[in-house]
Parts: sequence; structure tokens; C-alpha cells
Amino acid sequence: MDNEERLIGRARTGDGQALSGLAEQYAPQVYRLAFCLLKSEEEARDAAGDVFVKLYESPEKIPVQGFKPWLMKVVYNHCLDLLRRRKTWQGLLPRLLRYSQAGLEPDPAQAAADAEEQIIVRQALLKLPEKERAALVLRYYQDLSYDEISEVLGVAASLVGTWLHRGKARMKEILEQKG
Amino acid sequence: MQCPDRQELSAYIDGEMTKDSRQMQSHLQQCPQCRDGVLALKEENRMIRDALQGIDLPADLGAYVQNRLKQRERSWWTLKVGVPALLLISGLLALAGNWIPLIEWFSSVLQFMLGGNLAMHLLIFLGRFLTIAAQHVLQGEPVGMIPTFIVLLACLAGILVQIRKGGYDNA
Repeated sequence: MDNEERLIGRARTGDGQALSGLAEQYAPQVYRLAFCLLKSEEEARDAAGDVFVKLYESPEKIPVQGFKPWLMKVVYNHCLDLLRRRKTWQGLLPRLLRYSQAGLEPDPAQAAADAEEQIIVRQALLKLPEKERAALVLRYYQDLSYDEISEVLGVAASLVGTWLHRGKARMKEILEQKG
Repeated sequence: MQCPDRQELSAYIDGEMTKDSRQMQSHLQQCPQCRDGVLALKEENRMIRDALQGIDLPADLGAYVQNRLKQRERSWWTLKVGVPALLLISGLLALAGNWIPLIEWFSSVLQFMLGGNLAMHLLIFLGRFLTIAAQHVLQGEPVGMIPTFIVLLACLAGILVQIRKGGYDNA
């Protein structure tokens, strides 16, 4: 049994320390998926906190096998809820809404630090439709299989390949338009 | 074998081909166009991966998540131990008709349990407001159970909000 399996086993019993360990290990991946979906640094950080609090509240739901795809599904569903709520608030209180476009327009300090190629590709990625964006992040950053991605997104596995392909084709178009 | 389309090539690179991959391998050995296609797709994948791995993490991400977990743990203990204790002691004090020290006592206990946050400030404000208002109106005369229970319910509502949110003072 490896270290992660032990941590998961202990976290399932409600062990706070084990859950802290999992949070330490997975917080960056959770944050980056949330950021790609929400396009806001602040909301992505909050979402990462929310997700691990959810795990603390219902540790019995943590699966013994396939923890990472399951965790990504929790993140994805949580972000969808936030996006739905955001849409509602956008309709009701557009002026009060703090909708950040930080992901689309990186600040100069970050731009200087990052490689230019990464920024351009990221900007194109963040302009994709939500499902295609999520599929690309899950495949090329989280390294999930097509079956695991279909489980996270709640669609047939045959659609995953199509979305990945469409997403990449659309990114190419965006990049070509740009330049 | 006919040249595969981009989606098939992409699935092949991802190790997700539904058909026999040996056919694809032998086709790639013979077809320089498709070999170039594979190289281009691999390069695309690399660019996407690098772009995603390059997303900067907030400097305080780890600390923030750990803090949220600690807050939630503390809220849990508040619910299990703190609330019943509050109810018991406040009930005893209310029965004794000693309600003004009770509100002050609530303020200090809540300050300790909730930490410095919006809910705590609102609750302490409410407690003090009720104390002063009641002192003026009632001129220090003993009061029945109603104001005591108003404060008690407000405090409990604050605690429950705190628990539901998992903490306010972690921003």
C-alpha cells in the first residue's frame, strides 16, 4: 500500500491530518482546474477551499480507488454550480458582480515572468466553450483517460475524443486569428 | 489503410484508439504526411500542457486551504461542544434573571469561538445594542426570558452561518 492509499484510507475515517495531507498534495491541481473553469484567481482559490471542506464534511464519500478522477468530478461540479450562480447574479445585480477577467488579461508582472507562448496558448484555451476547456485540462494537465474524463463530465466516452479534437481545432483558429 | 483524420491520430497519441493500433503503426511507417501530423499533434499537446502547468498558484493557496479545514474542524467542535454548553449555562443564568451579564458573557465567548470576522462583529454589536437598549427601557429591572432568547437565537444563527460557510476570517 503506498503513501497516498494510506492517506486516502485514513481520510475516509474523518482523520483531519490525512485530509490535510491530501489537500497539500492536490490543492494545485484543484486550483488549476477551477481557474480554467471560473477564469478568476480569487474564485478558484475559494473553490479549492470549498472542495476540501466538502471532503471533510463527507469523508465516507471518498472512494478507495480512483481518487483523482473523483476529486476532479467534485471540482468540476462545484465550479458548474458557481458558474450557474454567477449567471443568476449577473442577471440580478450586474453592477455589483465582481467578475474577474484575470485569466484572459494577465498582469504585466506575470506576463514578464511567464513564457510568451504559454500566455498565448492559455488565453486561447480560456476562450473555449466550457466542456471543451474542461476536457483539455483533464486530459493534458490531469492526465486522465478518456473513460475517466467521461465520468467526470458525465458524458459518453465517445464524445470525449470529439471534444478534445474540437477544442484543439478551435484553439488553433483563435491562435491563427491572433496572429 | 487510408490516412486517418486528426481526431483518430490524436486518439492514437493519447493511447485511446478504439481500433487496432498495429494498423496505425504500420501506416505511419509508410506515410510521411501522417508522421508529420503526429509530430504536430504532439507539439500541440506539449504546448497545452506547458500552458496549464504554467498557471501561477496564489502564494497563500496551501495556507488558505489548510486554514479553511481548521476553521471547519473548529466549527464542528463548536457545534458539538460549544453550543450545548452555551445553551446550558445561558439557561441557568436566564432562570436566575441575571440577563445583562449573560449578554456580555455571550460576547466574550463568541469572540473566542468565532475569531475576528463579520459574523462575530455583528453578533457582538447586536448583544451590546440589546444591552444598552434594554438598560434604558427597563432601567435595570429584571427582565423575562424574551430578550435573552432573542440574543441567544441571534448568536446561534451566527454560529450556524459560520459553520455553513466554513469560516469568514480566512480571506
